[in-house]
Order: sequence, then structure tokens, then C-alpha cells
Amino acid sequence: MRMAKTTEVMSTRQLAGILFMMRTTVVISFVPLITTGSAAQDAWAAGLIAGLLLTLAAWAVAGLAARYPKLTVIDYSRMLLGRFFGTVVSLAISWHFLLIAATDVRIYAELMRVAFMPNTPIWFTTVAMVFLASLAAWFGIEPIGRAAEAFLPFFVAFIALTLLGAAPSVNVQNLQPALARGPGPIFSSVWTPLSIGLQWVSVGMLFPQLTPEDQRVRSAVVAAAVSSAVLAVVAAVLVGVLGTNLSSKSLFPFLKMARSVRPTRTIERIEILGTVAWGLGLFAGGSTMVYCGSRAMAQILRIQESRKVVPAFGALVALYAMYAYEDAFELVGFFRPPGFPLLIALTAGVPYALMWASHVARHLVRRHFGR
Amino acid sequence: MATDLVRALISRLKGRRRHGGFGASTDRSSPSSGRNRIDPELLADDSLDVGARKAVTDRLTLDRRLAENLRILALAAGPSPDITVRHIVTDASLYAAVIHLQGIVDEERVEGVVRTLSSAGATRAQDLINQLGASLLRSSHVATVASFTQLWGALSDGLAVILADGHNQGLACSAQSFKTRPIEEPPTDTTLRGPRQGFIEDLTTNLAMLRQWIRTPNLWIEETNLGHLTHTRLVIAYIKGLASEELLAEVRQRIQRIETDSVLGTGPVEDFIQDTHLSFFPLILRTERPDRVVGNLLEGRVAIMVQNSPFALVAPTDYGMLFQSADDYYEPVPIVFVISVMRVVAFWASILLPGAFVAILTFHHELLPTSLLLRIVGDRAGVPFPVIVEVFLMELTFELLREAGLRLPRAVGSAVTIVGALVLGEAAINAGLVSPSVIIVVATTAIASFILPTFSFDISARLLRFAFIVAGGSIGLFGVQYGIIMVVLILASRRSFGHPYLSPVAPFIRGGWRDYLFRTWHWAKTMRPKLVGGREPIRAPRGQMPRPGASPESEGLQQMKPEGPSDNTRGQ
Repeated sequence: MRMAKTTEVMSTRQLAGILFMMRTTVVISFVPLITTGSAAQDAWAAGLIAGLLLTLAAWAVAGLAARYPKLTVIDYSRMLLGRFFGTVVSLAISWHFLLIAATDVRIYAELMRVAFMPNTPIWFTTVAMVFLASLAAWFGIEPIGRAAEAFLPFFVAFIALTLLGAAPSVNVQNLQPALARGPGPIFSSVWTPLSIGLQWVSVGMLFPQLTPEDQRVRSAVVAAAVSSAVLAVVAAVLVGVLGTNLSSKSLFPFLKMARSVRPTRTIERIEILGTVAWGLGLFAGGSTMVYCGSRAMAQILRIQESRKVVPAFGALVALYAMYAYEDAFELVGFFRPPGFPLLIALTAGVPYALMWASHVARHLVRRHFGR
Repeated sequence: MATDLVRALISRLKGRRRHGGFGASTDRSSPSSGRNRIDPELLADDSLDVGARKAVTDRLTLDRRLAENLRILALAAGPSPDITVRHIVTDASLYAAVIHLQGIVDEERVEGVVRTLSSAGATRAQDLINQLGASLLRSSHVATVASFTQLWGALSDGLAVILADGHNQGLACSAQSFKTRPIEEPPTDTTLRGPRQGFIEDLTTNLAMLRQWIRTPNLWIEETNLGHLTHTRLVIAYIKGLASEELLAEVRQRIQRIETDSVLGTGPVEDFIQDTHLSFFPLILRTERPDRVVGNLLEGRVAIMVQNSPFALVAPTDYGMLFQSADDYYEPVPIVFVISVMRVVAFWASILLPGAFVAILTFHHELLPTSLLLRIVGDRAGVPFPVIVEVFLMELTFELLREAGLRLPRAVGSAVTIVGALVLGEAAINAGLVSPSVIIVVATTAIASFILPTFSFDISARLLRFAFIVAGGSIGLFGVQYGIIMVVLILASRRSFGHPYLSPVAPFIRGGWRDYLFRTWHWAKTMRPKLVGGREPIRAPRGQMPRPGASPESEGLQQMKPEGPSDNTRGQ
């Protein structure tokens, strides 16, 4: 087994910031489009429940990593599941990093085309953002963490200002009657936002580099809880402003909401705030995913220096982002249940469940048989 | 044959270190006297290059014969008119000579040396040198010289060297009188309330200034020489026990790694020792102000100073230090806070404003309020260029004016800049080549860039501005945002002597904010910055916030009370 060799460290605060930005970015891009279809005015409740479940999932991912604090998920997956199955799981995890990075980039590229640059080809925005993410990954996780930490206050401020700007336009009647259709539609709307929490797999890669050690699990869990709370607030404001019908039919509901409000006579448009926040979040998430993916591939391929893999992995991300989806509607369709949640459950949920089971079994064997 | 000998010498010399490192370079007491003496006649060969000449002179030791030593001097230094040799016959009939370089010695002190030497009664040359060194010479510093390298080093330092016929050692005594400019307020970093004191080109004077500010013996200064032709003095100054030993080791190691023929000021040193050569932003602070250097030394940083340069380098440096001005520490905190915020905003405005303006006018009209958009579009009617060309040309023109103003004599320079800006701007608008809104943007950008206190930081902003104009004009606000992310990423990846450049912002360090971008009160600066001053983190006790005393009325009443002794007389 090849251990992850790196001297880079990252603070748990930086990790929490990256996870928060990463999830908030993807979530606000399509939610509640992909949830309000069934949850309607109760999209905020679906967000809260998804957040609760994500917090548990984050604990499961970080908790397992805490059992093997010096190893990455690539290392202990092979240790726990055996060489063959471990390698299969490692490849699946690498693919997750590729998937998340490519999908995030494509969402942003579609947003730019729809909102600001209708004549700029998708490939240009995609390649530009992937280049940036790859450059950051090439610099290493320390600069990524620091840059994300520097951006976080602006990210939060821009999202908050957008929500504040939209707040006067909220029609409370759009959120009523609350929970009138029972829990069924709400629970059916939980799975996509929960599955987007696949991003927390990156904790398994970054865990050995996190400091201080006693806050590693907590930072992952807190980031899940806070970002889910933001999701619930965003969903409530969105539905409040746009109504259930419009918010379930708009391609980028958050952008639609920001464009539909006019806070003052001199400040007529505020969508630029959300878009900038989007870009910052995409950078944080995309670069982290490219970094994690490159490291994972380097470990699988037994390449000592993960930096060498970054260009190739970046190229894969760019190709995947450009060719995996025909257009924005196909992208939205990809996220719709049950396809996306099932895919994630099979490729991430089941492997983690197996790894936990193996870990518990090994633990019990060690306790009872002393080996 | 001579060439072969020199080649052999050079090959031997290449095997050892070029310079002795800190502390070793000033110690000239162990010359190569123990080795075989080399024939000085080799220096008469005009085909020798400078490396070979150095190899030879490094091996030359002084001879017992005065005439031979003077011949060595003539061969090594050539017919230099500034070398003065005063031949003397002492009262005891010994032949001797006093040698010095003109212009860097005090002639009266040299005359004193000559008088003392003439009246010396020693009958043997060795006794003469010993007596002069021990008691006769009224000089603050005397040192024995035994090799040509030591002899020339002493002469270059402004010492007078006494050689006596019959002894293979000379005596160097202090007689320096360097002509330096007076200590003045530095033009690059002026202050309203701070001291009017700036470094000058003389390193000794600069060090004396530091000593006046920090009077603890723990202010340590280490010296070395750099440049095998210039032998430039370089010192690192730090407070022993406060600056971390790891930082000092890193600084020493980076300086000792320098191998070059010349060091002309702090610029070359900075080039050699900074963390990366590809950086738009200064990774080492340059300042002419002793108070800024002292402030940084007191936080645990290290200063590097070089002979013939009025600038000191301070390491490690972070992004926030470049926003600080000396005046920040002499003005009331609330005012400084507002000014500091303005500086940060101005820095980013000076980089982003033209690019964002171009992006919005080219691609994102909808982001502007309608009335403002109509006004700008109306003003632009008839302008033949796209906005990007318009802004680019005006920025370029402004940069040309600024450079012209810098290079011209001061009296003319400001006039050219002002007249050029006014006339050009007015004429360009009248000719319909640029719109007033572009002039306003360019002028605002220029004013914003003038607010920055660190010139090297301003240059970075000026260059980046053009990149942002191109980005904004090509791909709109996406390009501007892309550029911002790129700049912050690069800043985040930089280190200054191992310290993250963006700290304490990223990585966030809670205790590091008290004197970062925004200054705090002096009484609140109880802790040193964690990364550089972590060795002795506590700077001052807490609880020194000023508290109002009793009201003046009650104070007055207390003083007017006739009964009871006052505090001053209570113990008598």
C-alpha cells in the first residue's frame, strides 16, 4: 500500500469554509428547482431534513477517516475491503471527484451563458475555470485553503446581501400553507440535495492534512449543518419571492430571484453579487476536487508526486464537463431523482457502508481475539 | 608558467568557500600567511583577468622590506592617484610609511599619526609597530595587517596603515571621514508627525540610528561582505531572543548562498533572497525609515541593510504591512482606521476599476442604473474607439506622464504631469477621442493608486490594472472575477521567508489582527504577531487603557485643602 506522502497542512477552519462554499454553490444553483417539484412551498423543510441527514453522512465519512487519521480514503479502502474491492472503491471515489468538479464547472458555464455571456461558447468558460482549478491544485491544498479562507467572508456577504435585497419582495403567502401536503412530498425532495453532499467524500482525502487534529470531525459536521441551514433559508426566500410555480420552472432560480427584485432606485440590479459568490464557490470547490482527484489517482497509479497528475486530471474534468451534458436542461435532468440519488447511493453510500462494516468487524475481531 | 600557476591557484580556490559568512568576513586576522608566498610580479602580467588577479592578491602576504610592500601595493592597485603614501624616517632612524586613500580619511588625524610615528623612539621595526599599537597612537581602533587583502581592506574602510621597514606586519588605525549626505526625511515615505529621519548611504550611520532607537544590547548586528569585486558590507539586524532562530538561520543561509561579483544596493540582495523570482507583489518590505525598521524588529522580524543603500529590507513581510504608513503610528487610531480602510479600497479600486468599467460598458449594461447608463452612453456618442481601447490608451498616457514626471527634475516634473494631464484630457474630450466618463475613471484610478504608501506595491497594481482591462474587455465581468481569483490564489501561494503572505487573513490567525491592515491603540498592542513574534508573544501587560481621573473640580478642591501634609512632604 502506498501511503499518501505530503507535507502540506490545512486548517480545519479552511476545510469547513471550502465545504460550506462548495455545497452552497451547487445547492443554490438548482435548489429548489429540483426539490420544489414535489415539495412545493415546503422546499425549506426538505432542505432542513436533507441537512440533518447530510450531517449524519458527514459524521460517517469524517468518523471513519478519524479511525485512520494518517491514511487517505484510498489507503484505508484497500485495507478494509481488500485489494480488488478497495481499488474499485478508490476508482469510484476518484470518479466522484471528477464528477463533482466537472458538474460544478458546467453549471457555472451554463449560468454565465444564460445570465451574462450568451455569445461566449461553453467550452471557453469551462476550460478557463478548469485551468484555474488545476492551477490551484498544482499549487497545492495550502493555497487553495488560504484563498478559500480569504474569499469566504465575501462569499457569505454576497449571498446574504442577495437574500437581504430579495427579502422585501418575499410574499409569505407563497410559503403557505406550510406542510399542508404531508411529509411524503417533502421526503421525496430530500434525496437530491442529500446526494449533492457527495462532496464530503473529499474529507476522506484531506483528513491526514488537517490541523488541529481534535477538530477535524467537528469541522466537517458543522460545515454540513451550516450549509444545510443556508439551503433551507435560500429555498424559503426563493419560493417566497418567485412562488412555487416559477421557482420550479426557472433554470437558475436563485439568479431569477435576484433579477426579479429591485432594491432601490439607484441599485436596480443585484444579481452580480450572487454570480460573483457563485464563481468564488466554484473555485473553492472545483480546485479542491481537482486536487483530491489528482491525489487519489496518483495513489491508485502509484505515482509519487500527485502534482504530475493534475494536468491530466484537469483535462479529464474539462472533457467531462463539456461532453457529458448536452445543455443545461440535461444537467438539471441529471440531478433529478431517482437517478442521481441512486447513483450516489450505489457508488458512495454502499462503499462507505461496507467500509464501516469492515472496520467494525475488524475492531470486534481485534477485541475478542486480540489480533 | 605564470598562467599555469594562476590556474592551479584558481582551481584550489574554487574548492573552498567564496566568503567566510557572517562574522568571518570582518575578521582579517588570519591571512594566508601560513601558506607559501606567491610572487607579486605575477600581477605585472597584463593578460591576467580579474579572477586570476584576485587569486594572486588573496595569496599575497606582507614582506619585511618596506619597498617590497609598496611595490606590491603598486602592482595590485595600479597607478591609482588616490593612494597616498607618506614616507617617514623616525627619530630612531627607522624607515616607515603611512598609507591611506584620499577622500575617505580625516587628513588631520592622518597628520597626527604621522607626527606620532615620526617621534617614536623604538629602534626595531617590530617594537615600533607594537608600541604604536599598544600606547602611542591616539586612535579608537587599531588592528594588525599581515596580508595584502587585509591591507587593502583597511584602506577601503578609511583606515590609515603604517608599514615599517624590517617587519612583515603593518598597523591599521582609524582615521575615517566618509563624506555622506546629511540625515533627511526620506522622500519615498514622508510623515506629518513622525520623525524626519531616513537612512542614508552610509551603513555605519544607519546602524547608529538603529542603536539610538533600540538601546538594548540585544539588538544584534551580524556583518558579512558580498560581491567578490565590490566587497559590499551587508548586515542583518535583529533582536536576539525575539527573532526566531529558524528565521535567522534561513536569512543567513539565503545570504550566504549569494555568489556574485557585485552587490549594488538592496535590490540585488532582494533578488537573491526572496522566496520566488516570479512575484508581482513585493515579498520583502523596503523602507528608508528607521522607525519602520525598528517597529518591525520589535515584532521579531529581521532587517537587512547594505552599504551604499538608504533602503533597509525587512523580512518576513506580509500583505498587510504594505498598506501601513509611518504616520499610522503617530495619528489618532479612529482616523487611521478610516484611512486604512480607504487604502485597502483604493488599492483594489486602482486595480479593478478600469477593467470593471470596460466590462460593464462592453457586456453588462444592464448592471448600471438606467439614468447613469444613458448619461454615459450619451457622452460616448461619437467616440471612435471601443471602450477597451479608449481606457487602455488613457491609462497608457497617464503612465507615460507619471514616468516622465518621475524622471524629469522635480521642479519641472510636477508641472509636466499636471499640465500634461489637464491639457491632454481636455484636448482628448474636445477632439471627441475619449469620453468624460473614461477620464473620470482613469483619474479616479490614478488618485486611488497615489494613496498607497508602498511604492513597490503601487507598481504591482499599475501592471495588474492593464491585465484587468484586457480581461474585462474580452470576457466581461467573468474575466474580472477570474483575474481576482487568480491574484488572490497567487497571493495565497506566496510565502515570505516561510511565512504565509496573506496571514493573518489566510491562514486566519485570531491574535494577528491587532496591528495588521488597521492599526490599534498602542495600549492594546499587548501581543506580538503570532508568526514572527511567537517566541516572546507578550509585548505589554493588559489593562493599560486610559481611564478618566477624578473631575477637575474635585481635583482642584483637593489641592486647595489647607490641612494635612501633601504627598511629597508626608515622609519628611
